[in-house]
Amino acid sequence: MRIRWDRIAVYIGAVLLAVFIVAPLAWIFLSSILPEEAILTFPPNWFKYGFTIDNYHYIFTGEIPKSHLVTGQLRTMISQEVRLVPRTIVNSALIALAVMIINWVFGSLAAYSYANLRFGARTPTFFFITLSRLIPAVALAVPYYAIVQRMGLLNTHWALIAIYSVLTLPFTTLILTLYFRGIPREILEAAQLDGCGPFQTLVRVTVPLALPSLIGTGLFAFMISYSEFLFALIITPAREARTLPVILASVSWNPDVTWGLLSSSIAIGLIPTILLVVPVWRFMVKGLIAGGVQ
Amino acid sequence: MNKVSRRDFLKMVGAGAAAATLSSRWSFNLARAQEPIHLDFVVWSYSVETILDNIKRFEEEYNNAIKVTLTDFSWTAYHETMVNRFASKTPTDVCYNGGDWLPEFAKAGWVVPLEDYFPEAANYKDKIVGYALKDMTYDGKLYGLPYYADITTFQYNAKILEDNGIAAPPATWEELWDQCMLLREKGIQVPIVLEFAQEMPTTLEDFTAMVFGRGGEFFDDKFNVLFNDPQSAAWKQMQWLADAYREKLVSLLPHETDVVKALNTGRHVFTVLYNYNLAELNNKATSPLAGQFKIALMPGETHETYGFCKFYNMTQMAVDRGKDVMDACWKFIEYFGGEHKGEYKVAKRWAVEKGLGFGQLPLYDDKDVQASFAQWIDPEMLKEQAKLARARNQTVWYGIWGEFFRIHLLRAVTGEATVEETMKAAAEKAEELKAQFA
Amino acid sequence: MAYDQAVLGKLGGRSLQRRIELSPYLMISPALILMAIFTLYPYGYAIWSSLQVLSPILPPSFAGLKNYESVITSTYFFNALGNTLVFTGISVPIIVILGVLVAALLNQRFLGDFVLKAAVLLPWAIPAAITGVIWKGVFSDSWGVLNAVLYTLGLIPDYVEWLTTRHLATTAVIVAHIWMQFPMAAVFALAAMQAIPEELYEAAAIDGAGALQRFFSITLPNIKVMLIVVCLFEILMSLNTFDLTYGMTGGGPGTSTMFISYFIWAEFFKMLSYGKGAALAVILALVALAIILAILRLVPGEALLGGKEG
Repeated sequence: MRIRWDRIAVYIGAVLLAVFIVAPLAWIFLSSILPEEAILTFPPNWFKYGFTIDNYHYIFTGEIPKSHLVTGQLRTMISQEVRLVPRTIVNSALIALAVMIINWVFGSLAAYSYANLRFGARTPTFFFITLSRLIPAVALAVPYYAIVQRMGLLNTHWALIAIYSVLTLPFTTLILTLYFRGIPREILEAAQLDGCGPFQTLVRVTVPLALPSLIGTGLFAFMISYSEFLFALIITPAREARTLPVILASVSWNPDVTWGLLSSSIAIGLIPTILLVVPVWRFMVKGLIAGGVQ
Repeated sequence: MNKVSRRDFLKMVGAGAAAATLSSRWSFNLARAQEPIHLDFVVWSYSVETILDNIKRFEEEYNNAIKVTLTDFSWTAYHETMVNRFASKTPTDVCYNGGDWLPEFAKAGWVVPLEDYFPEAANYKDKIVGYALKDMTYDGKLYGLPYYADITTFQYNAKILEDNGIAAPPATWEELWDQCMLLREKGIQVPIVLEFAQEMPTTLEDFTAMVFGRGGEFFDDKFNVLFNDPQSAAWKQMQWLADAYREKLVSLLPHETDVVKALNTGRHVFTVLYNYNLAELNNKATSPLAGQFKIALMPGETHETYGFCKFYNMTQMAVDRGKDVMDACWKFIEYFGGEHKGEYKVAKRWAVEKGLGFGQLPLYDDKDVQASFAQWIDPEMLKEQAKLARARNQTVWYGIWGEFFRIHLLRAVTGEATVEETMKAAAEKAEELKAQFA
Repeated sequence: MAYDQAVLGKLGGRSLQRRIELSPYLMISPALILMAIFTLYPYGYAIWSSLQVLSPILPPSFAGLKNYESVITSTYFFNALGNTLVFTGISVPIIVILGVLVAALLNQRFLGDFVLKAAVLLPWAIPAAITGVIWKGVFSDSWGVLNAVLYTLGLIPDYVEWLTTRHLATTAVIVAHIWMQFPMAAVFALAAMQAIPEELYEAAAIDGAGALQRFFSITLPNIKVMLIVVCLFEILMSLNTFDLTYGMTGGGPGTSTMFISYFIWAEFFKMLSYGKGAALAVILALVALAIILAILRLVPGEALLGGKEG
């Protein structure tokens, strides 16, 4: 009987969670295919005017929705910036993937040292890395700009990749250090007896055992980079280098954007996350890892 | 557009933007003589495809001897990103500017007066409406030509008034109060919506328009404080808003699009907003209540309102690059903001297609502009209100004072502080800044 | 399998390995160098400029502690700091608790679990300013989905002014912030749960411990350190929130959702006072440091880094 109660609690929790997470996004999806008039009806009557995919059509083809083609001359009041959304998604996703990889490589190298090796500058460098996020990012905009400019990296994705790595590495290093320390010493020692150096031990033993935390920190690095706005705005003003958050923010503040057009662009912006999430979860939960370790 | 996106795409696919930039700069230096003059043009992100199209037409007009690269920033972050850009000397030849930032940018030496370098620019002074001219002028010199110039207007839902037996829109703030009370009895709980938020700079412009409607100002020509007096228009208006807020007659929303949406639900009736928003309110494509909205003269004794101008400005960096570049800038600015072959092409396009106001007087008589505007506004009423519009007295520390004042304005209106405290603090701040920047 | 034994041998394996063994510095150097480039100069700059009158429109001069004095005595300071602390104090515990509950849930298998697992991560990828806009779509007074649904179901007689009523607006902003932040807490709580050896649960089950007992006696103690780390990060995120409110409330009603980091931005870029902006940033960093140190006292010293080196 007890197990059954557990299951009921699980399903109730799942439903509540789904409502909390999904409801706002469901509204975004729904309103992206509703004509604007329907959204503003009072008393609410959303389905009065049917559905439309004109917003998506416009974003990908630039063809102005029929509803916007009012007879007469006043005909192009539409937020044109949304057309940049597909391209900026690619920019943002590539940057975020690069940051994710840097976090994995730099983060696990450092974390392995901090977790398993003894050396003189261990404590000071550890606290230097992990506490370097204290000063609010807003205050760093000006000096970061100066550094990036001096390195000749303005308007490049390299600059953003470096900055986002700096923003995420402290936390990644901390988490991975914690996690690596939890791995039983005997397993590492066994690997060393087999003749593995630190680097090999890291790659062959620690990394497979620490997959959930690596997935966690990788997701963290990806998400932070994918959604960062402030530095993207300042460091990459050129149109071809721009990222999704900058475009979405700009669109949402345009005076002539409709709610439907805005929600369509937000919906499109979620695609890379959905693509990423599918393969990643497989490695997150124990038992799903093929041929588990131990 | 095709050309641009293909080039962008190649850049993306190629060895990275850094390499691309490097190689293009390098070849530029080698083959300077044959290369076209290159201009960096910086704008805030509004209808960028239209701007690109205008640029293409401009380049073709000059046989591609001038090439323009467009960079755009989100409107809300424009001031801060431009400050960063100028301070770090990122190449910029022509940029959008506004009357509120001009004193700051001019004092910092980032932008230059047009008439110092092109005396013929002064000829435009007769052809530009007064408030636009004032917004583009600093220290007596003309700095630009208009991108657009607009006014803030009192907008209302005429149908709701009619349905509820109210014959005419209010002429004074007291009348507005009475109409709100009447409407509330008929079931309209919150008749007024305003774009009023601490984080939204436009708040101060909306308040300015209301103060102008009462015939007031914040500062005189010497920047002495006028508002710290219970009889001043600003004081009275702040008190009026505080009372209306306490009575829940007014809802304060953070963005103009929120106000437009709220009015289109038919749950609210009055607002004070940039005039171009009326085009969106009456846009049949997206607004369920399109056609019901009109403007009336700003309530108050004088019915004046706030007028402003956004304009094309040449930078000091362009001057530093030499005469060829400056000449190209002037051609560009004149094509975009002035007269080219007898037509104000670009300004007209903004007016006709987007409902943006214009500062160029000849456009008032343009048939296409009149026809387009008639779709969403009563042209006679607009003309009457525009005649009563004026720009603010602004100085280099006005922006800083405005940031300070906006916090206090919001506090006073929502009852967090009294009007008296607010005006006193704002006056002290103004005196402090005046001394600091003397 | 990048470093196969044979490959390593060809690369001169033994000596390379010994070099690595001798120098953990080599392993921390990529992270350390990158952090140093982007930390030393900016921190120095921030602290130096907080002591200067520094503005592109004023001649520079030394200000001493005047910037600090002027931001602390400004009208916005205590109001915004109070708002920020309330916001942080309410949202961080909820984020962490919700994160743990969600992690416990996702650790189960149930019908449709995969859909939920995918959906949980979506809010994380949305920029804060856009999260604000999305939740405006929910809470908006006159066209929001919440009012529309409640009104249609007959649960409210007229629309509720969620975003323009003082405490309701604060609540709405906190809800949006939690929505945006809890996925991270959930992912790391889940990662920590994965590290708990299965045998512990099996032994407890044999002892007849129920699900709740197992959660409190095994799961929670084992993920505690991870939760503290997540908590610290969330505190920093909450203290630094400023673009969330932009589209949602604009800081209103009045100044009730104005946070302190907005003013760092405003001092820097709107009022062009780099000195005051930096002073405010340093103050906020000190506040964060104080909170972090207070929390770290709860953790045994060696929990983060392990035993002290010799």
